[in-house]
Amino acid sequence: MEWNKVEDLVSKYWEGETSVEEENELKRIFTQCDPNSLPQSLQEVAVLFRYYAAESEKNPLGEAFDDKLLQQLKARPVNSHTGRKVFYLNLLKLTACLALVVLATLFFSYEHRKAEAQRQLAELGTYDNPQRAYEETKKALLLVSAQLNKGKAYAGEIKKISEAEEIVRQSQR
Amino acid sequence: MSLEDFKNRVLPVKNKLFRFAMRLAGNVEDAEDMVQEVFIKVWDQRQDISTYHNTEAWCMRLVKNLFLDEVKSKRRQTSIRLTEVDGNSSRHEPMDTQTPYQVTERNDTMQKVQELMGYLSDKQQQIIHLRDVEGYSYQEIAEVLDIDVNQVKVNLFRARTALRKGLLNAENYGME
Repeated sequence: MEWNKVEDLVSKYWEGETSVEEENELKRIFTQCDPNSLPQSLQEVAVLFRYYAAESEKNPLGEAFDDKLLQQLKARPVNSHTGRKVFYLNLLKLTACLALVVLATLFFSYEHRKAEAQRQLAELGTYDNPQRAYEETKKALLLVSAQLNKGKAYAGEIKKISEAEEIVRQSQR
Repeated sequence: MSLEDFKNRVLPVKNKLFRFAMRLAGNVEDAEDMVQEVFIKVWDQRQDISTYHNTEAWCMRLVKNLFLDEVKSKRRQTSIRLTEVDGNSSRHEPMDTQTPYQVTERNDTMQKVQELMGYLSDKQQQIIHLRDVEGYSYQEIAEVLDIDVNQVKVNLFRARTALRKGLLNAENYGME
């Protein structure tokens, strides 16, 4: 046994730097070695590891415990809390799904109605009564036409001025 | 989970749970009752068992919580930790190489370690047990005790230092 290596490992152990595997290795070394061959420096830590190993080997619960427990578990009723929990969870899922379907239906229905209204408005213009729309259109066109005639009268006068100007220019030549 | 699955997957940790319960409760009857109660809880919550990535650590945590509940409800006494060292602890020793004097001396020494453990705080005892007896990782210990990993490391270091000091003192003044 290379006790120097063991001593290094023990130093690491006291510093809290050993891994679980290294600690298991120390447990194995100290429980399997001949206590008389241990260097003095490792005596106290060996005691500790033997104690840990002995503790970890205590298995007092045998088959009698298993049989008793399994009988108890067999006789146990289905947990009402768990059953109720699952029921409420499923109910919640179902409600969420239904709510989603209803919301989606309402949304698409609203969108459809909105699109339909817009389409109808586009067909009828700004009036929803065709007769009224016709009258209003006629009125607007008459107004435009009246203004056009007025402009035409002014244009006639401008033409006269142009003719007079031409006459004056010719007389000067 | 069927009863057969429970027997194969959960029941094998019974002795680990028992040893931890013993460390907490300090007597066999209470420890056995605690383990039984924990298994019944696990069985009742078997539908949720897949949500726990480490069933063993979860069971250990249930033991600890159960003990705390018991302490709170004052149904159990926080009895002393100085239980007698089990006679089975000699199974590691190469007995054929030891004289009766050596066996007695070794049992006394084990008793001394048990006493030194009793001087540690409850948390330090639990951490030392989970690490040095059961071989759990820092992360697992933190999960079981519901504390930070750094707290685990600090408490483990302090506990080991205290045990080392105690052993050195015992050696210097002579162990009885």
